[in-house]
Amino acid sequence: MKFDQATFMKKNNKITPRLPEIRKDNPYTVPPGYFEEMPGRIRSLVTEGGDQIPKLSPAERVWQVIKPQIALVAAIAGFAFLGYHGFRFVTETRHPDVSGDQISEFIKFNYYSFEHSSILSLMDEEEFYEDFYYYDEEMDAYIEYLKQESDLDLYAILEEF
Amino acid sequence: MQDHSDKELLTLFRNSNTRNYAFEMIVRKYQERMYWHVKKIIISHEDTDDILQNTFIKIWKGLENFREDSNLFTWLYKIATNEALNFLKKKKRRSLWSLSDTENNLERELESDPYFNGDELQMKLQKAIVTLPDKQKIVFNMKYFDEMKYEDMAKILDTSVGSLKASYHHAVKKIEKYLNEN
Repeated sequence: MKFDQATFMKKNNKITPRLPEIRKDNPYTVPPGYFEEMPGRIRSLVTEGGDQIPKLSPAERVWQVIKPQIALVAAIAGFAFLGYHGFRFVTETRHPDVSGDQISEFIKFNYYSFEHSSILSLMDEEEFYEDFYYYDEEMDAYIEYLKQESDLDLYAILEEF
Repeated sequence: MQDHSDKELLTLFRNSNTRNYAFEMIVRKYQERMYWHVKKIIISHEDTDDILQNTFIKIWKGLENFREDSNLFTWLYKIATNEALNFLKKKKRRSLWSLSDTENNLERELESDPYFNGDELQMKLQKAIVTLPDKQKIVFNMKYFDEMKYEDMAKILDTSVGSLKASYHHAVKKIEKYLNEN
């Protein structure tokens, strides 16, 4: 179908009743003398400074494009590395070199497979009672004295020591 | 200074003795149209000035290899448009702006622009234009204000006439909606 400018404008005018109310002239201005000075400024840029803009090789241009992306990936990888090792450090400090399996094995052994007879046999051995047979006469005298003196001020004694 | 045709200017530019003169003539001939084209996209005078400088530096560097497949003005407009769009892209990337933040920012720049000399309705229209996507904004400005032909616009923007007509139609509808709601 051939484009009909008049129909198009008519159609647009139907949906744009407010646009024709608005002045169509340029509402902007420029600083005084701007366009008069521009050719001189451009001339000095292209003849003196314009060539100072470095000409990049294709490899350098590619590098300039991918550099920010690489920096972003490196930053994300850095954060992931620190996060992972930080987490590992914290969890391993709490349970160094002990896995969950080892802990469950330990509980299983000590709770279910503990042999009470081993304690009893240990108690039968003479060395077990050696410490209980330790006898101190001076200590015995203190104990006897304390047993007899019922009105002792225990707080005063505690404060003394 | 006499007026030269684009063809004459290109011939003068290719002669090393008249190169600087020809380039200055090209700047004088097209600076205003290019300035207003960029200004309506970017809004800020300072940013528009920077973009225009870069555009003319690129033109200086590329003009020797210009093959005249298109006319000079189309080629100049194309460079200026690309520079303006790249500037907006970089600005969005740098600031990690969302789309609406960019619009708000352009609207703030518009409100504080010391070089805006229009009336209230013109301000409202400009505010409506900055809410448009970049392509629609450019198409609307070129068609509505510069009254450019779709065929010329298609060469500058590397797109089809049909796509431009659709963009302009959408732009007009959005602007009308904005004008009615604000």
